[in-house]
Amino acid sequence: MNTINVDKMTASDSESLIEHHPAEIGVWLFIFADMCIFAMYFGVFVWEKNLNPAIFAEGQATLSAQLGGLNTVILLISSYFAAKAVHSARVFNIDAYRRFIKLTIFCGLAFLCVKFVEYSDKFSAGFDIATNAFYRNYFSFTGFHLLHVILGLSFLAWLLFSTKTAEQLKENVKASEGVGLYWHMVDLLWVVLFSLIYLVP
Amino acid sequence: MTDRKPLIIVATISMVMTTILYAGGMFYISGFLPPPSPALSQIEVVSFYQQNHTAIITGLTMAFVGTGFMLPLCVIGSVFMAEVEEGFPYFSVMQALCALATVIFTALPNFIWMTAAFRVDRSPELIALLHDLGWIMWATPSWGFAFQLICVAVVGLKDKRPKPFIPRWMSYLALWVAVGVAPTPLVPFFVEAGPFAWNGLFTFWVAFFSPILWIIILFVLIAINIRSNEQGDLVGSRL
Repeated sequence: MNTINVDKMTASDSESLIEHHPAEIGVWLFIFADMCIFAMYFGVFVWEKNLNPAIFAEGQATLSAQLGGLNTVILLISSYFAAKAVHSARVFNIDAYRRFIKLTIFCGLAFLCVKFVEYSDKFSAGFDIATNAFYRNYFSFTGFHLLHVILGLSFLAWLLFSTKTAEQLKENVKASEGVGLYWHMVDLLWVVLFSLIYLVP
Repeated sequence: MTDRKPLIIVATISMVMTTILYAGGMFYISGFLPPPSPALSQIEVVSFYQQNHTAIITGLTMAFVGTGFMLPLCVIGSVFMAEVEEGFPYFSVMQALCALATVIFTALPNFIWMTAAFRVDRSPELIALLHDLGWIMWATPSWGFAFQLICVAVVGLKDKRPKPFIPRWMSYLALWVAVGVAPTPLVPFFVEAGPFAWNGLFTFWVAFFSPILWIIILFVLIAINIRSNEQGDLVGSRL
């Protein structure tokens, strides 16, 4: 990470510091709008939980906090790799960049595998999206989040295939920042989702 | 380069016609929108069709004519998109084809509901059946619109000209709308009212109004651009 000595900062330094914001403004707009939808999801979850506390407590007891926790750890590690990849992009280190993108993709795929195990457990135990209000919320919210993970994986794969040389990396710094930002949002939303659905009594 | 002004005029007329005919027919005359709850009893559904016979057929006819005007609008979008693409304009063609799917799936339920209202003495079970068929067909398929917006976003992000056909943030917003309409395939799972029923928060209010919001922003940008720039590219780069 760049460390900046504030005392020695010149006017142009501070200007560039103010000027630079990672990724394009459109990515931030996307993230803001998407988080609004997730905020509605969280609101609906809490609202319905207050209407049927018994069903929600019963449903929560059937979830595996271990698998959910494992996925939280996987996504937090993947976010670290994504941050390292963005840093490598800024210093044009193509080898490190490709390595960290691959590691991020690997973590994302691991998340999908854990999710698959978790869903098939629920299906074989006879729970599905139409079972009751708790499972409707559980499957639709985690499913919508899963869609975001799959989208993020496609963006990461696109970065990997379109960035093979240092020249291509120079073209893709902004794009990498955008994908990194999106991936952090997916991570953040999972942390909130995990606490809300698996943990909060 | 094609002369853009007539295209923008035709697109605006189409937009106005779609809005007046579809919104007027569905919200005001027939009362189909906002959607009734899927939990309505058969008696309530049948009395809705029997008591509003003429209004339903008038409103639904207006609305399906209105959906037709979405086609010139979307094809004109493809004209602007094709100027960006090199070689065969894959995404522009894809966008126009998906627009056809959007129009068909928006208009077809109207004929099913009209059939339900057509004979006043039709048996109640059949009216309830056609009612459900129409609503599931209307609310479930969002892929046509999602693919349209993804195509617009891909071309918009590829557009490196100093004056792109839409601002880059509109491309990101289009991607967001495409994600926002994604939950609609959950509609057939829920007979009781809730956030994913066909009148639900995510499957109706977000999925129906977020694309409309995008189109409204697009036309505001076009209007601003026309007032400030008589050359008439679609939106311009300053915004």
